[in-house]
Amino acid sequence: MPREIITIQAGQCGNQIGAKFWEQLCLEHGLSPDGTLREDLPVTTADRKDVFFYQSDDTRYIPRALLIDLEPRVISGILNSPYARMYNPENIYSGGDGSGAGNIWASGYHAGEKLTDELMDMLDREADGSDSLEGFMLMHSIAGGTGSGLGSFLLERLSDRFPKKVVQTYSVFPATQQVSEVVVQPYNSLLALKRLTQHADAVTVLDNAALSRLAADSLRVQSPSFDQTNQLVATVMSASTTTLRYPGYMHNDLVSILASLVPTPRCHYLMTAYTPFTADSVDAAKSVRKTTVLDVMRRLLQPKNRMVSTQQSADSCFISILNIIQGEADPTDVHKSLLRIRERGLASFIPWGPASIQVALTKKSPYLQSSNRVSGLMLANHTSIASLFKRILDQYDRLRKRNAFLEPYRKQPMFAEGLEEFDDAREVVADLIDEYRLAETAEYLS
Amino acid sequence: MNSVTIDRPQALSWVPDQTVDALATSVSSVSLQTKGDILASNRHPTDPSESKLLRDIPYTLQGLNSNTLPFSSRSAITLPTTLPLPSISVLHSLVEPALIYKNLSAFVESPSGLTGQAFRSVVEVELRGYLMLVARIDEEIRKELQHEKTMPEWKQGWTSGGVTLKKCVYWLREPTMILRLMADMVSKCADLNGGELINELYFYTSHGDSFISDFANKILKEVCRPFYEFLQQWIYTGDFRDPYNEFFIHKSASQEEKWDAKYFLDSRHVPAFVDDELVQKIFQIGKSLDFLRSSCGDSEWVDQHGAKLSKAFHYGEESGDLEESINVAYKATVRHLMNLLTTKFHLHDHILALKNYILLGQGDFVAMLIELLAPSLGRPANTLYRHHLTSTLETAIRGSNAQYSGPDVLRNLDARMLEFVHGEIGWDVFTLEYRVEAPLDVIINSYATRQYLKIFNFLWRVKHVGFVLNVTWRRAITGARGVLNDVKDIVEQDWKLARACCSEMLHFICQLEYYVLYEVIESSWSELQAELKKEELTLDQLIEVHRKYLENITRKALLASSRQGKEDVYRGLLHEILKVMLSFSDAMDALYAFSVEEYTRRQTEDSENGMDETLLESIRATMKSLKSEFHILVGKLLANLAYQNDTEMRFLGVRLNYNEYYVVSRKNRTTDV
Repeated sequence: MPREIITIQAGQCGNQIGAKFWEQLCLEHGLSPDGTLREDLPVTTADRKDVFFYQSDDTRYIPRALLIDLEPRVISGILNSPYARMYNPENIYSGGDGSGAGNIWASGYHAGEKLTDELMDMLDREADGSDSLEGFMLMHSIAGGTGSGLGSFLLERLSDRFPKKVVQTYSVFPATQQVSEVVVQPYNSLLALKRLTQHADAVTVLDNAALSRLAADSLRVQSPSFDQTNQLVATVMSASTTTLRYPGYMHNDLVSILASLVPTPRCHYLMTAYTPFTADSVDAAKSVRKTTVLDVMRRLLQPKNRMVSTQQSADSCFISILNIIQGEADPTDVHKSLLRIRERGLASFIPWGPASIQVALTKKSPYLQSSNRVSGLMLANHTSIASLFKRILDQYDRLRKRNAFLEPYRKQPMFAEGLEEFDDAREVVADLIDEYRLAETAEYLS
Repeated sequence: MNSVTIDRPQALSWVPDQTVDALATSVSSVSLQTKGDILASNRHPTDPSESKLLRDIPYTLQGLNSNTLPFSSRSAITLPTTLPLPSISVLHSLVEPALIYKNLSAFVESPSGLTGQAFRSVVEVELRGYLMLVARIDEEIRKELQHEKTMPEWKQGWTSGGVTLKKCVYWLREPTMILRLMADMVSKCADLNGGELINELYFYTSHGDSFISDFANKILKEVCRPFYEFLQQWIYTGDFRDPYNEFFIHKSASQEEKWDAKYFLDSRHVPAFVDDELVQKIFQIGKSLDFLRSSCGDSEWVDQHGAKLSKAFHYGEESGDLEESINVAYKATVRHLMNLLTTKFHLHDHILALKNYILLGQGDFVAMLIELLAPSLGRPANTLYRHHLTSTLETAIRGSNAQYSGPDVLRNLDARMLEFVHGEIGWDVFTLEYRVEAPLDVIINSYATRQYLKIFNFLWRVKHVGFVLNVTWRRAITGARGVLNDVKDIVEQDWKLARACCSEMLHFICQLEYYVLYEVIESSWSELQAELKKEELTLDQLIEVHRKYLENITRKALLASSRQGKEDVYRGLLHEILKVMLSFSDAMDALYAFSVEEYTRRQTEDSENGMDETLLESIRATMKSLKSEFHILVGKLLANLAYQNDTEMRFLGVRLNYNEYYVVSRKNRTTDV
């Protein structure tokens, strides 16, 4: 009964991140690309592989992963990589022709509807193969067609089919401050945001703008490749699941992590920060000078280290924080750091309930050579995340006012009768923004 | 007993042969007309005559009765009243050694322990020397009396002046000194034995008169022999043979004791010339050897240890030698014992296992166990079956990383129920148990087991509440995706409040758990590890550091307090807080059931039965009162923690109220809950 988690990677971005994530897990658990235990490494019994892997008859470790894309490019890339043999071929759906969802949410969603039976079979089979399924983890981007549209469809189905399982997503948000190649990005994002709000229990928000900035900063390159930013995401994902994979005293299941972060169902958008990015996690990252616990915890609070670009107002505050500290962290140092942060007022919290920086101390994978003593991941529920939704909403409004680019949507069944779905999604997102704003005040609960 | 004090002690030694030689010289000059002869020839005869007295004196000196000088009791002699005063005075001096001898010879016959026997035999040797002297004197007297028979009658009854009573007094002067000294010693030590006797005699060695100190040293050499023999046996074989309780280590009469109370120190018997540190080392060596032999089954090493190192000790040797030998034996024994406990009996593995299982360090195992047991532990305790618990335990082990613990460890792990009273449910009585076998049970002794159990029960309760709240949270959050979303027009605000309160409680549980697990257990654990790494840790020290480890945990985990009466405040408050949390979770379950019912009602469009308003109101009221009760209790706890001396405990208060949501007022500080 390992409280299994099934991952679903949807679309180009989702599959790219997923591939990196599984590579990272192989590294951390001492697995070779085909899923066998590496014989050149000593055996460890400190980790739990069965949360994310199951063992096949020939004792290979196979990811509990579904790979879904409507166009074949990324998945065939994976299938041509050394890791191809690791995945269960039955769990892969790759659209045959090169068209995909064409960056239209509605196409992705409708493709999902058409593939319902196939997709549900994959999900059911994987779920049946688990003793005590804890939940699902969806990796996708919300800007395009497949990850956003098909991802939204999957969220609805999951919620319906597995009403008691936890659904968490790692959602890559578009860089809203830049001009995008995908003009309909605001439409796609808004429609996906509605599903993320209503059908997911926790959404880890990663935005491309922040990822590029972080990658650029730590790698000292002008414009980092997707490969490099995806590596950052994989690092964050692996760090946020360490307590599940290296069991210790606390936070050994997904629910206990999320329960400490999400007090009310809608405010479930989490931002992350990770430090230090070193050569271990990102190739060619610049070296980091100091890694004391205090340093790590202080850096995690700095907005520039967050993987989301948000605008903080005077009222923005943390609803909750969970810091996962990996490595040789002495509880005494944590203790001192918490006091220091409190003295200096480095973090402000909600006024309507107790909140603090919760800390989970975990081991590091014995297989990772690391130059820094301590590294840290922050998972935080911060009200300023609403500014991101606000930007999406504003962009949507500008686009919608002109009724621009709506034609591809009208072609799909959902919008054939009208565009009410847009209005509905807009209302959900606007409510969400209001809820976050209200959460900054003491009157939130009244 | 005739008590004699020694005045003006002189540097004399007890050498009978020399004295007798001197006698011979004086006898050879008997033919000369001396002043003595002339004086004697002018004296009136006495009754009894000096010759008669001389003839009887050797008997008297040997403690035997004679006509002229009969012993009136053991310690008294009757002098003839007919004699003139000067003669009485001479006789008085002469009978002193006789009386002391009589007493001492009675003393040497008295029963005693080994040290006492050694003392008695030294005294006996001295007495034998004295008797030899008396025999020589007797010989001289006999010669003199023979000679006297050849004298004219008027001269008979008077000695010729060669051997006189006075001369006897002179000859006996030194022996009398020694007899007096021994009499003094005996008077102080007659009833003493073992170390006490040694110490009493040792006192004489610091006497300013070297006659006395030399004599004392000479005696001690013999008297200490049993002590050193015992010591040798104790530190090289670990055998304890002390039939007369003379050694400074005693053995408990109880056969049950393995270590703690099996042997104990008796400071009265510690020889003054062995310092405290050495005493401790000696104590540890023998204890450890005995333990190795009787509890660890390692006689082989003990035999080798003895064969390799064993040597005899004597009183008066360079004290450095003894110290050095003891140090060598100490190091060897202590190291070997620690090494054996670590390698053969896997001490560290078991302490770690205790931390992993009893102190819940193996998080995935604990989580699984709780989840598997939750359905049955909610039922009354008397419906639980032991075999169900053990099979569930087995499942949890196999399903978690606990499976990688060695078979030695897992064999010791057991699940059982504590004794329960009517009305208790499974959660109240369930316990994990980790049994350790000999010889480790001297470290994880009954005290330690009780502490572990206490900590387990507390942690288990916290885990239970955490588990229940997590389940409730999950239902509330995943429910929002479906069922609860459809009835939000009625219960949305209720759910908002309920979830916020649930989060508040979860926050409390997380902080408490983190505090206990990391700040308390993990910190104490690193301290313990540091202590265990120290060189030359004795078993006693090991037991002590382990005891301290547990004590630290219980104290800081709010389970006990150094100040009396305080402990119940924290324990009581925490107990109440956890109870309120469970009730709140029940209330949320009721709200969920209500919401689902309402949802179903709407789905089926069952308009006949309206919504149960009163039920909703009562759920609302329950939640409200539980929430305010929770706030009051947390306020009290925080107020108490705020004035804690222990910084870590004070910091728990800071963690629980990191964003100063709760108002902590001094007046909440209370001693009654």
